[in-house]
Amino acid sequence: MGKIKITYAQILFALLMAFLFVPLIQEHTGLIPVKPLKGVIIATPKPELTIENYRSSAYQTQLEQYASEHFGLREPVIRLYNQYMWSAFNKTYCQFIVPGKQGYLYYALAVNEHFGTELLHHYPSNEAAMKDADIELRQMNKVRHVLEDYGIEFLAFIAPDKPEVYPEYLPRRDADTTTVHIDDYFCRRMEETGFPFINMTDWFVSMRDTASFPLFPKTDSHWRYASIYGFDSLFRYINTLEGEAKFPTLHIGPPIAYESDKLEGDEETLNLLFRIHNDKTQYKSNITVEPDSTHRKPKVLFVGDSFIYSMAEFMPVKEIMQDREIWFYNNTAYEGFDNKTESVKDIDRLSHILNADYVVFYSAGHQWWEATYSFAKDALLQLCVSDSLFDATVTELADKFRHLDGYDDLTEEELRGQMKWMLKNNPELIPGLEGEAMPTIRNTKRIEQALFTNRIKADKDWLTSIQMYANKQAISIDDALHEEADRFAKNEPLIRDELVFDTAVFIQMKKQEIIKNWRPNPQIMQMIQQKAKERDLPIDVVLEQDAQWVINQQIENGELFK
Amino acid sequence: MVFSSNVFLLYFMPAFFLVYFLTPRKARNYVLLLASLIFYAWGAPEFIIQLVASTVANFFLVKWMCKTEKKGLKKLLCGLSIIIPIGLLVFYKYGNFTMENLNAILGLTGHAPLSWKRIMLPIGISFFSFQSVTYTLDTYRGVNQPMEKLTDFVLYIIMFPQLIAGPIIRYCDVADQIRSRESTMDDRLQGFYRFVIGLCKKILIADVIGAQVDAILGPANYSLLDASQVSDIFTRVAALDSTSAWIVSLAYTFQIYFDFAGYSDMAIGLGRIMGFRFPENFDNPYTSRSITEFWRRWHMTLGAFIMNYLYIPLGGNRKGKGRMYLNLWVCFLLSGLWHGASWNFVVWGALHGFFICADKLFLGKVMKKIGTVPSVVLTFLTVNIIWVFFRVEDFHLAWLLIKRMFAFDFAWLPFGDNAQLYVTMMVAALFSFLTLTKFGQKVQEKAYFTEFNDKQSIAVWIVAAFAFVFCVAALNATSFSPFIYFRF
Repeated sequence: MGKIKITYAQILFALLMAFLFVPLIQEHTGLIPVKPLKGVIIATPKPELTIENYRSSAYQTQLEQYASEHFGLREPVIRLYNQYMWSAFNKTYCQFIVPGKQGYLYYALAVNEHFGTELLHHYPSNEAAMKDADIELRQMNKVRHVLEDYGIEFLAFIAPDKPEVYPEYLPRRDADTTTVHIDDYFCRRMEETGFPFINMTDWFVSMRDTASFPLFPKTDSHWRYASIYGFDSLFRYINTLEGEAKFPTLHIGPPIAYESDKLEGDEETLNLLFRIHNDKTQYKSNITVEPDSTHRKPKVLFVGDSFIYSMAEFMPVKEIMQDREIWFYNNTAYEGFDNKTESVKDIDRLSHILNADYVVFYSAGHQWWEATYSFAKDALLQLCVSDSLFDATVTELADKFRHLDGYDDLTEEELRGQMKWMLKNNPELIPGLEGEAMPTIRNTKRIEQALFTNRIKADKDWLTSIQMYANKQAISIDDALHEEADRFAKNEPLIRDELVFDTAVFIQMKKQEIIKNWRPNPQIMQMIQQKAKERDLPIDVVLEQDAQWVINQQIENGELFK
Repeated sequence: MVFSSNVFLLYFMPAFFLVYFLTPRKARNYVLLLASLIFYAWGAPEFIIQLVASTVANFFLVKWMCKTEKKGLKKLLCGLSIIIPIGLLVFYKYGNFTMENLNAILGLTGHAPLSWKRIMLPIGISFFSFQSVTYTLDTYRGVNQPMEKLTDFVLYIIMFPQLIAGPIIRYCDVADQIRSRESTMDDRLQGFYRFVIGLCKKILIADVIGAQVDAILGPANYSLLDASQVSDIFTRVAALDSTSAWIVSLAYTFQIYFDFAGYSDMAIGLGRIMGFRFPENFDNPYTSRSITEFWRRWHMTLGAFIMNYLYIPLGGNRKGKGRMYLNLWVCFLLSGLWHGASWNFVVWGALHGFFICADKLFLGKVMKKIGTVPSVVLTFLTVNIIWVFFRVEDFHLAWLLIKRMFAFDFAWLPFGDNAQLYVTMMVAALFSFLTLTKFGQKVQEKAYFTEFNDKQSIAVWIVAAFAFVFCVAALNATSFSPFIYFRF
């Protein structure tokens, strides 16, 4: 039998075929470990093949997009092109990141604001923007006025924008000097109307040449280590206000430089192959909190943007504040700065607001055109307008509008829906909230209810009773709290006093609590998934089993029923 | 499905070649046919049945035509076999255009417009209908025998590498290869290299430049835009300084070349992997010294089609000079109309026809006299200006862009933040004019047509594999990008 001669061309062709199949094999096996891509995209769901989808080409389009997000070795491949674009053209596909000179990164909207063009994206003219700012500030002052009645301070905090502090590394661009800088305008008007605020921008600008550390990392648009000084200013300012809720005294040590391989902020989302700068220096400080038994630590509700997160990273927040909560863009509620998130619209907003000693609206300068992300409007309605007054105003407005063009063909429900929307956007249409005058009305019943529920929340045993009751009745805790408040108002027997302690319900409740805390934690969930796979059980069953194990441990250690 | 898509590059192509090469030689045409049907059905699900039905009908008509001895019937069947694909082309491609113009006339004469439902243009119809015509006419003229097997004929019409944007392959050029062909290992590797060259042209050059063109001139099809969007485009173009206007027009000139030539390279490469030798479609058209030469180098298979199946049947240059000019003019007007059912394409064709006639009259001699570089530059600039009418559907907008180009208010480095555009345009210019030098001709010869020795093969394989990965990277890091020529 003759020997088969294998040529180079045959080997190369075999290799070529294998090469073409690498992505497909990787996609289904994940054989080669890859560094995942960072950043957020709206993931394309796996398309469903139906005759209709196929005929309309929707399936094909969606599958192409889905393939683009899932093919094997996508991560290094995308990093490769990103690196090419970055190294050759100083360009990135990451949305809203503007590459500056010498590898500096900026946030696009902050750059627009610096060059005076950001407002033009939102308002037809400077006058329109200023008019809206005046209305917003007026409503902020009204909220502040009402909150003062309950001993709550409402103040504003302007975080610095990197382009203001380090403009020399910005890419070349023509400035439009005719446009108003909205944060400057707010500062001026807050000063005129006496609304308390702290503006960090000017201070950071004055500090930048003398500080022994960079006020912004080169590759992040957010302040990071330097935020310590920003928050320290905020705490000091609050401490100057009267009241027993004060921040403990902080001792901030000198900046300590250290090396870290972890990429800072925005650089991570560029998804490059190599670091932008070789310098891995980052900074931290030793911060000590002086114990002070004469004051109670304050409860603070922060409403604003992402500039607050550095606080959780660099400040010992648990030692400084008793209760802290972030309403991120007034949209997502982060209790205690951790991962426990809920939609703001789904929580009892009034009781959360009234639970605080301070409400701080904070935002970087470039976002002030959006102040206060509707917080002031909503708080004004919550604090001042009862459901019956709101409904009556809706009816009154509906009567006025129903014969007008554009409204006459709406159903009653649609018309009322539009009127509600109108009132939520302009609460000053409601009698008692109009014009420049401070509000003369209060949502007394709801406020009392909210204050009462806050009393319950502050009492651990009472809250446990309510949680058990909610669990037993299969209702939400907020509903159970409201019921307790109603009973209290009507002088009826309270849930706390009526409820017979049921160990089984209590254990079930604790178990659900544990599971609820586990679910947002990716590491724990990964472990659970692994166990589920090994035991060939559904994830929910494994969650239940593991939570039961934790409960058993707590019972054994005497922690559960102490 | 398009070649520069994830579905094709990462799934369809590997799976197809694996199955194709594992299949016994005799059955490979069936694999290719099935793959081609899937390929076309993916992009034009509504039209696949009509395409197959018309192709099958044509096959039997031509078979009948060849069998019959009656001359009259032969002619009738030939005509019928041409009318089917051309009728489909006219209906799908020119239905909207005809109705729009008819309604415009009705409006002018005070009559109510006729209502009609807009017709979607099936992709690739201009190409496969022409191929069908070449089959009928080549068989009628006795250049080739008709296909014996129906599947072979369907394969000729819908073979996926060239189905969507050509090259337009004459039946006589490929008939034997469909029946029997050899694909050596070198063919397969060379085919892949050629495919990658095309992919690079499309993704790394045409798409990058095209993004800037689109940013200024909007999408190619204005019928998808509302009035305010069109008005925005007018405002943008009116605000262009002359440098920007020239950059936009030059960018489009390079975009269309690298897009279309890239597609042709991919088609030729894919064909070669399977052992097909498709005709070349481009021969460095921007190095032409006249418009006449440009048309010998640009979309060569269309040029050959028009020459063989339109110009010569019209009488060519056999019926006197006047008739020759008229024939040329008609050919280019129809060529314009073939590219798109819109008046701007007619103008584009007419302008080319004008310069072709001018070449024959006097311009060709002038161009020869002024030397290579000036004639190449003048031809290129002429082509560049005429491309404006091709790209911009709205006549007023095209004219506005040309006015901005000649407004002589030049600015230094507009689009200054887009270094990628400038670099890519320089690369495009380099590859467009490279063959004006002997060195460039050698480079092209080496890259496209030389078979490599073992060591060279390894190096080229590595480069091609990296380029393939890089194109996939660019495709996914930017966005999905359909080919320009699908519209035609």
